[in-house]
Amino acid sequence: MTVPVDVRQDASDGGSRRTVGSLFAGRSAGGPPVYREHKFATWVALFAFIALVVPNLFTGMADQLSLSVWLCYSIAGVGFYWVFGLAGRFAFCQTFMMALGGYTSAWITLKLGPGWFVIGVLGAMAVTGLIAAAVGLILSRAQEFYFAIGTLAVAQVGAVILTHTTSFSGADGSTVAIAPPEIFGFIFESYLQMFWLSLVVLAVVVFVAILLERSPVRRQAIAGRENAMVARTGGVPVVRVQVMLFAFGSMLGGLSGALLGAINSTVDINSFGTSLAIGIFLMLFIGGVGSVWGPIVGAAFYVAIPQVLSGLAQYENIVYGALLLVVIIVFPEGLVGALRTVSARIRHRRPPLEPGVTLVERLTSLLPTGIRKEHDAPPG
Amino acid sequence: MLLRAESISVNFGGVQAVSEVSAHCAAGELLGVIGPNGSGKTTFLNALTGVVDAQGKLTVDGEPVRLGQPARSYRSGLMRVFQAPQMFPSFTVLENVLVSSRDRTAAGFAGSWVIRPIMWRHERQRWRTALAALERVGLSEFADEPATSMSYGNQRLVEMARALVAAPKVLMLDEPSAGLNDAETDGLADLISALRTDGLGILLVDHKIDFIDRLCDRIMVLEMGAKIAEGPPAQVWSDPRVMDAYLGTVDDA
Repeated sequence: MTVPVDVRQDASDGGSRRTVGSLFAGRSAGGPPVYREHKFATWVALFAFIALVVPNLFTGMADQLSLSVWLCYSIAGVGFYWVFGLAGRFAFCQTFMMALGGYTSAWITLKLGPGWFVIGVLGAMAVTGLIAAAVGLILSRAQEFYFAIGTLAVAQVGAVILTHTTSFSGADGSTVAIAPPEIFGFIFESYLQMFWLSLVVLAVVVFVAILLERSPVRRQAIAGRENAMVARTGGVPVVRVQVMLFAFGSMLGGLSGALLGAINSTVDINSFGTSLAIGIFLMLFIGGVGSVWGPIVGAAFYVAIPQVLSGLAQYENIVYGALLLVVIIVFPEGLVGALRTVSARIRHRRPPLEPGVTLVERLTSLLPTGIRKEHDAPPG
Repeated sequence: MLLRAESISVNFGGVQAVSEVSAHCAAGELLGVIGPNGSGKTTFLNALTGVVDAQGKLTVDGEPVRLGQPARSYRSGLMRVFQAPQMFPSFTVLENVLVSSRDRTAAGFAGSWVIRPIMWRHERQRWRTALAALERVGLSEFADEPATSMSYGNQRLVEMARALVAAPKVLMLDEPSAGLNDAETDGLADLISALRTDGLGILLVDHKIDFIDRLCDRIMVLEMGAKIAEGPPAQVWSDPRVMDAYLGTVDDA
C-alpha cells in the first residue's frame, strides 16, 4: 500500500529553511530540542567539579561518609527519575529495592568472599530488576494512584518478609559486618576511597541516563505519561516502556543499596522505611522532576541541610520543614528547573517545555482519571 | 477491499453504543459517516482504533485485526485523528508528530544503550519523515514551536501529520472541520482529496453536510448506534429514514 509521506520530498522550498537547514547540518543538529542540549558537556563539568572541589571542601570522616551517602542516594534518585519523572509511575518501593539490593550484595559477598563485590552488586541489580519487572507487569493495568498503592504494599510486605528471612537478611532484618568494597584486589577502606568509588559509579549511571534522555525512549515515555490513549493509538508500546523503566530504575535502587551496605558495613531494614521513601520523592522534587540532574541536586539538599541545621537543636525539624516549603513554593519546578529557566532567559531562548514538572501538577496527575479532566474525546 | 468491518458492536455496561455496524472502504475511497449527536460515530471509530472493547470482525488489506488493542490497529495501518486535538503538551510540533513514526527500528532501550549508531540513523530518518509530513500539511516552519501554542486548526493539522508518519492504509478523521473557518476547511478538503489520490482509504465523520457531500463517494448514516442507510450521497439524502432521523435534528454547525 501507499506511503503517503514522500520522505525524499525536499522541504527546503517552504518557509522552513532554518529547520531543514539545521536538520542536515550536523550529527545532532535539528530534530527535537532534547538532542540540542549540551548534556554531555554538563556531565563533564558537573563531575569534574565534584571530583576537583568537593573532596577538598570536606575533609572530616563524617563529612566524607555523608558525601558517599549523597552519591548513593543520587543513584537511587536517578532510578526514581526514570520511574516517576519519565514514565510517570509513582512507585513507592524504591527504598525497598535499595534494602533488597543491600541484602543481596551482602549475602553474595558473605557466601563467596569479599573479593566478589562486583558480582554481589550485579546480583543485587539482577534481583531488584527481575522483581520490579514482575511487579510492574502485575500492576501494568493499575492506573496512577493504584500503582502507588500497589507498590507501597510490595514495599511493606517485602519489609516484613525481610525481617524474617534470617539466613538471607540477618536477625530482624539487620545484616552487620559487611566487608568493604573490594574490586580486583583493591579494598576501598577509607571513606574518601568510598567517595571516589561512589562518584565513579554515579558518573557511569548518569552517563547511561543521558544516553536514554537522548533517545526515542524518552519521547515514548513522556508520550505515554501525558496521554497514554493517544500514545497507544500512535503505536507507542506504553506498557512495555513503563515496565522497563520501572525495572531499570529499581535496578539503580538495588545498585545504590548494595553500595550503601558496603559503605556503612551494615544493612538495616529500618533505615529503608517510609521516611527515606518520602525522602527520595523529596529529592526528585527539590532538585526538579524534569531532568536527570534533579535528583543529584535534591539528594545534596536532602543530605546536607539537616547537618547544616543540626546546630539549631530542637528547632531543626521546624526550620527544615519551613525550608522545604519555601523551596517548593519558590521553585515549583525544582532547583534545576529554576536554573534552566533562568539560563534560558539570559540567553533569550525559550525555557524548556516542561509542563507537569511542579509538585502540584504531578500529584494531581496521579489522581484517578475520573477526577481530573478527561483526555479522551467524548463519545458521540 | 482495504477495510472491512463486520458487525461491530460496542457495549457500555448494558448500553449498546454501536450495534452490528458493518462498513467497508476501498483504497482511494472516501466513506462519510454521519448521524445525530450520540449516534455512535466516534465510538465506532474508537472500536476500529482498539481503544474500546468491541465485538465483531475487522480486516485491513485482507489481514484480520484483533479488536480492543490499539497496538494491533496501529500495526494493521489504521490511524485516527481525534475530534478534539490531542497534543502532548511537553512536546514541540515535531516531537508530537514523531510519536507515531512507523519506523520503530532501534527506538527502544537497546537502541539507546547498545546499538546507538543504528538508532541515530533511523532517528534522523524519522525526523526527515516527520518534517516531510509537516511540510505536507503546511506546518514545517512551526516544527520547533510548542505544540500547545498552535491554533486549534493547526493542532488538528499536526494530528494529521502525526497520522501520516504512521504510513496508514486507512485514515479515520473525526469531525476534522469542526472549529475551522472557511479557508481552513477548504485547505483541509484539498489535503484530504490529495491523500485519497495517494490511495488511502478514508473514513470521515463530520457534521458539515456540504463538506461531506463534496468529498465522499459513499455515506453511511448511523442512528442510535445502528446503521440506517448507506450509499452515494444523493441516494442517502433521499432516504426517508435519513430525513426523519438526521435532517430533522441537524444543527448545521
